[in-house]
Amino acid sequence: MDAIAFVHICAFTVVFDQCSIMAEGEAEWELCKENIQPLRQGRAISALHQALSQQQEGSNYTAIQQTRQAFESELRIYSGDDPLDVWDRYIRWTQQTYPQGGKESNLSLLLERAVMLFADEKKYYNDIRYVSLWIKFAENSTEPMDLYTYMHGQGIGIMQAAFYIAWSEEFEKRGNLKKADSTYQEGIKCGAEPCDKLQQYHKAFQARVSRQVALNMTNGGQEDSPEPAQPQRSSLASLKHKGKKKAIAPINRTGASVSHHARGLSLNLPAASHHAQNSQIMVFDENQAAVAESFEPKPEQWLAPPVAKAKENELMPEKWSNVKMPQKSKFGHSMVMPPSKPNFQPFVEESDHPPAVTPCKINPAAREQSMYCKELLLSGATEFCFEELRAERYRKKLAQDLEDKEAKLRRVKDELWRQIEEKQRLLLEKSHEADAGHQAQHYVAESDAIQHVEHSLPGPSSSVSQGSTTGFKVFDESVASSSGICPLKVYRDTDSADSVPEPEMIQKNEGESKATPFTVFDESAICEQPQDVVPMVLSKPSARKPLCAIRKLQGDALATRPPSESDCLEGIEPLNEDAIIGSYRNNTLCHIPDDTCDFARAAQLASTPFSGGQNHRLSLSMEGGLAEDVREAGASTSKDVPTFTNTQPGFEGALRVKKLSPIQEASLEDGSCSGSSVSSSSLSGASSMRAMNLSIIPELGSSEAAQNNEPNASETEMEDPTSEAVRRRALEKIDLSSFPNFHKKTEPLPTVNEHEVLSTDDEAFVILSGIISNDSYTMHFGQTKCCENVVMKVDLHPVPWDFYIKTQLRNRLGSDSNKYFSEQSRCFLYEDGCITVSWGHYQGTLQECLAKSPLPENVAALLVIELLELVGQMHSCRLVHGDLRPNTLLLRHRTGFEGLESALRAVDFSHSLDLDLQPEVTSVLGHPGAQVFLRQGVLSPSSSPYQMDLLGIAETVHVMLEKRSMQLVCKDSEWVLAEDLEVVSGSPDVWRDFFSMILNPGTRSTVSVLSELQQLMKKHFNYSIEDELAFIHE
Amino acid sequence: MSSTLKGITLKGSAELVAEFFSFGINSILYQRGIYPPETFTRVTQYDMSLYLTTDTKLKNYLTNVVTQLKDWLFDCTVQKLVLVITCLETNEVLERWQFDIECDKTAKQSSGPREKSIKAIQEEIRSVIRQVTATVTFLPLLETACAFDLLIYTDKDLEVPEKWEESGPQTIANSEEVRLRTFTTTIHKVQSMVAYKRTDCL
Repeated sequence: MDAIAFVHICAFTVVFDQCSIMAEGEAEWELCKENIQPLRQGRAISALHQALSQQQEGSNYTAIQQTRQAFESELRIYSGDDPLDVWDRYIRWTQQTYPQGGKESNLSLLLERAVMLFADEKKYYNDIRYVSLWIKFAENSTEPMDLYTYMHGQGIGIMQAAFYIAWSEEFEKRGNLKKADSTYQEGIKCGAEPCDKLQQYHKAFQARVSRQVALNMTNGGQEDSPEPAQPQRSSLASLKHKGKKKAIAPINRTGASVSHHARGLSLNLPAASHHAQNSQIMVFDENQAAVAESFEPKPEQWLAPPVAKAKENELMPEKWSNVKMPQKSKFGHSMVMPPSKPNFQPFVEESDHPPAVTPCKINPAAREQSMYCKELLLSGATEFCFEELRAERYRKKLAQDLEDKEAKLRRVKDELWRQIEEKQRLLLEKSHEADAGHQAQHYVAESDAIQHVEHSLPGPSSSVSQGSTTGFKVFDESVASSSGICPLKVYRDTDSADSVPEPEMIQKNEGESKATPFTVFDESAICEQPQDVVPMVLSKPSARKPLCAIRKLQGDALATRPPSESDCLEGIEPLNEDAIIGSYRNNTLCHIPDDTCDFARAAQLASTPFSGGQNHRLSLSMEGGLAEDVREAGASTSKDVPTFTNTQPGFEGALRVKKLSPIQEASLEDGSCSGSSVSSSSLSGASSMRAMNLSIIPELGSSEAAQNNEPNASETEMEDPTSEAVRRRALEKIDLSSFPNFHKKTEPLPTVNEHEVLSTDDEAFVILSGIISNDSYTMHFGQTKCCENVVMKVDLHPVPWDFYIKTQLRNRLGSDSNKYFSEQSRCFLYEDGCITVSWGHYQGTLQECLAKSPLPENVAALLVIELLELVGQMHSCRLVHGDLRPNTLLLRHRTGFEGLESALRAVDFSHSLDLDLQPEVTSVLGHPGAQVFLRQGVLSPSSSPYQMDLLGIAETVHVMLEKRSMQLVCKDSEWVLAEDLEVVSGSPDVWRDFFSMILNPGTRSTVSVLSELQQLMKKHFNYSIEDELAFIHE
Repeated sequence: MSSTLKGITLKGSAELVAEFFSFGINSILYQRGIYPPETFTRVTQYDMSLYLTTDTKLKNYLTNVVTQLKDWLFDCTVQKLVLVITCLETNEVLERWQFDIECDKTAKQSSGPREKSIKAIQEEIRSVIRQVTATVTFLPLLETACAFDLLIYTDKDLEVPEKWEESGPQTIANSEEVRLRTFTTTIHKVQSMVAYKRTDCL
């Protein structure tokens, strides 16, 4: 008995759960049912849910706006031969998305625009889509009859059954059954299609009428029959009937509410029955006769389509019989007023001016022609600006390019497969020939290529099936041949083995990739060449070289940055004015550069200090004092600077290098080399130089790392908690493949080069400019196929740590994580690396922003508050960032929709720690980001890892304010800044407090320190997000 | 069915559910205009006005089905009742109203009544019927003459009574499905759903 009772309780709770889910989710449409206009074709429940939930919380608002914007722009840039299609889809989408119609749906405006736009397109006249647009338009208008007669007169839809059905139903609604019937007959006579549908409707109509008549005949005597369809209004009408006038109740009182539906509830009150009840013999119905009469005079040909809605400034026709002439009798004589002047000032649109008959205007018909594409700007339901149009065109072009590229790659892939098959066939033939004794000999005689092919592909039959299934991947493998694992390696080996001794070298070396027979992939190399023409750019890698020795992490980032910066030209959309002006181009004006690219190039050549050079000097001085030992070097260089100020900036860095350690002297060599290449400015020399620079970097990094590690090793055996091995061990505890958006691939990491396409199985990414790159990972901006902006991190180790941290952030913080961390990310784990893609649109790193313009103090304060909150959020869920620098923080691109979103985002988590997952990490010891501070003594070997982030914040803030790295001294057992803040003018006290608090957290928890700091900042800087961010956006 | 009692028995539950189907099917036939509205008459049930057909043939048919259904409900052998609306001319299935029935078979053994008042059950039934009525907000208009069919899914080994025939599921290809409310008598639980042809919108 007990057991049974238990079961019952269980069953009951399950039911309860389901009910509550229902009540929350599914009943939404039911709650709003009165506000949902029924559609003839029904509604998609998903669209309905979306629309209704949008109303409730406004969360989908942006999604809807985006779709609408997409439609709007499609209307404008559509270039195919069926422009109606876009309108049709747009209007159907609008109907589904705005269930209650209403003004914000713009439905009637859209219908009117669409209908008028194609009013001259005879080819659409009997297109069902166009006709149904007209019918929708008529149903939305106040005078549908006018519209139907107009359509009929123009010949729109006269071959479409739908037109006759709609027209006839309108007649039926108004009680004019005769006309309704004749409309059906006319349609059938005209042979409107589909014929059977029309006949079916006609039959149904006749059935309705006859049933109604029959019903009224039988019910005639017994007035008080329990007929549920007893219309209330007929009793009102009969009251009137008794009066003097013979009029019955106005038809439209029920007419409008009566649906023309063939069945359903609405038939309770059909207008026909209404009349029939008032006067039993329909034919003699006075009112109906009048209605019929009013249609007797054949409507004259419409000159213009009738208007859908009563517009403003229109005087309705009114009775004239009672209108009196106003009399003025004051002086005995009457004054005749001009008749019926409206007592308001009519609003006249400028374009509506009747042509003023002046002698000079000879041809009033010649319309003023605007010199820009006015129609395009105004064509949809909303107005566009030029830039939006331009952006649309640009995006379209981009998508086109991407597609082309993919098609090209596919062709190449097919070609490769063809070759493989060919070779295999040859191989088979050969082996058949040599079936007797000298099989081995033949194998030796064969080229390497064929052998490799055979090894990698078990048999001809399997190779074919592989080819058909793997799609793009095969090709990627061949690209990835540089990593040296792929089976197709042979193709490269045979041709270029001598020129490429080390696989790693090729990967870094874009120039070398030309040597491989895959000539198609030279695009990257080709598009870089024109940029290398600019000599200033070339000096940059060499100038930055000293830095790569100073800090391992930044070395590579800086060294490889120049190409990305010089690529900015590539990214500029050639602003060909054709895009917006089109045929309106005014040829009489003087020559204007067609292309903003030309202009940008010219500007670069004309102005000597191209921003890039300045940029690097800034960053150089910023990095200069980061480490204590390096600070000395920095000081000495700053002493030297005056001596060299008059030298070419490109040499400046190279000369400084002399003061530095032996490792840096290695870089001096290539620094001076590139200097010579500047002077020669030969194309081939430049690119090969670049290649050399790049290939040296890893060595520098590693030797520097070795040097760094030496003292640590002697000090303690503490393991680096961010090392690959540690993380791999940590992640073993977790089943990553159960995470959403995690994709594991059994293939080597594809090469990721700028301006190339990276295809995964369901998505393709274009790699745009790089952000960070060093020997263990690179970061790039990228775009998906549908032009969503992403940041892609390519790890050269197969440890998806970033993805793990991002997922943890989302899991632990919930929706709070959206503020500072990207909402969506995906990870592709390859055999020897992984790619993490996070969505979001960024302007660039904080450092880049700083380099462009100085930050005003209050903007800096805003960013500091955000930074504090960001770190606070991470610490609150026991995550440590570990590498806070202006380099690793990204500034979001503002799109205008997000009032509440932050400006800062953290995307790179290469040095992060998860103290939940790594409970063994209790101190900063071993973490590479802490080493500098450990040496200075700011951090002690027992400091908590969280404190690393506090120092990271302090460093970032200092760079933001002063553009240089902070230097600390210990004063009275407190750490303070070595120099006072110079730039800060407004509130130096606040900043002093800030630094003293953040540098000396003591043993308090970092979360409380951070929140206290936030309060401190907020108290002193009451900012308005909008204003400040507007600044950053510039 | 004694409304004075607080609890509910298997027999009472079967009757309540059968009664719901009788009103529910009538309601759908009326709402969806399968039969002309003037062949319906208004009655008050569950504290709301509902429409019952006056067409004798239809009435007989429904009574037959519901009586049979009641037996099966009492035996706890029925799984589903499906009302299929087809186009008269093309026989294409346009709408499919599905009521999943979960029977608590333990009720057959234990004779004691369950704790749930008729009022509460009727309240639930009312909201189901209300929701059925509200579906006009999204269902497509039935533009052609339509016929309807009732399918009852039972346990496998049941013998098919006279005048009943076995049938396929009559599903709609490419359909949109909307779950409606559920009610339960604690012995029978009825979960409603409507499927309709998806519109070719975006």
